[in-house]
Amino acid sequence: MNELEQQLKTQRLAAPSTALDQRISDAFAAVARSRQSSRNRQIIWWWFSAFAACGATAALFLSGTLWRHPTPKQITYRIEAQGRLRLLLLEPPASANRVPRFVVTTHAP
Amino acid sequence: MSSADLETLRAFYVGSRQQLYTYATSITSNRESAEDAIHDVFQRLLRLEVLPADLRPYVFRSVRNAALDTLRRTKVRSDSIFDAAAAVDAVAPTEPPAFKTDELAQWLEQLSPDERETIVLKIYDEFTFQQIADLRQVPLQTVASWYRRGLDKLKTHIPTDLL
Repeated sequence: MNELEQQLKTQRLAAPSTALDQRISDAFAAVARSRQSSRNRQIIWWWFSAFAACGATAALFLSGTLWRHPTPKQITYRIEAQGRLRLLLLEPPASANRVPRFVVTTHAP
Repeated sequence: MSSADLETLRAFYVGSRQQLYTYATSITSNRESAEDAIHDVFQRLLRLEVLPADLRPYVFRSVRNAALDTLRRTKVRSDSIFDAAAAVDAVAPTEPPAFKTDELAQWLEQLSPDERETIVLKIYDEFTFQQIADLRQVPLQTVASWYRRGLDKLKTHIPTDLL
């Protein structure tokens, strides 16, 4: 750096005003505020979504249980057997009472 | 913009406000317009989703464009980059400068805009020739030539015994 450059460098420069600093500071603060409010809106939205999802699930479950078609009552019909069917059921044929075969095996001396 | 980017930008402003102001004033020759240009640039930067990777050249280029825009609307162009109230630099208070600030301001005003801008960027904003060339998007030799020619013109005004 030569002499002239040194001389130029030693000159005191005009500084920006405090008004500019204030304007810039306000701009930063406005952005920070808007970020905060946006974050709050996001949190509220997430909570709302979570509640809505829970509500929808509960509603589906309840509707499934309350409005299910009731199962019909069981009806039992008793019909007494008549005629040959009755005889067949009450007096089984002799073949049903057959004695089991008795088999004896011995060793021959 | 993320919190980290916001803090980066805030720190950049605090660290570069003087350099940006000197640069903008050297273009507009009007302090109010220079401040408006800087304010506009930071307003726009704060609206970005992500900060540019190389922040310094980006902001200086933006301030240059904004200053050139306000220049067209600026009627009064009589402000210099120097502090007329203080004749002595705080860094070397015992050594008074060789010439008055208002004289130097006048001599700087007589330079071409390119020469003046290059001298301000090189001496007061501590840009290298390469950085100035990138900022102005001109060849390196052109920047060096503007700088040399500007200094030569200034030398013609300054009495030789003061240098």
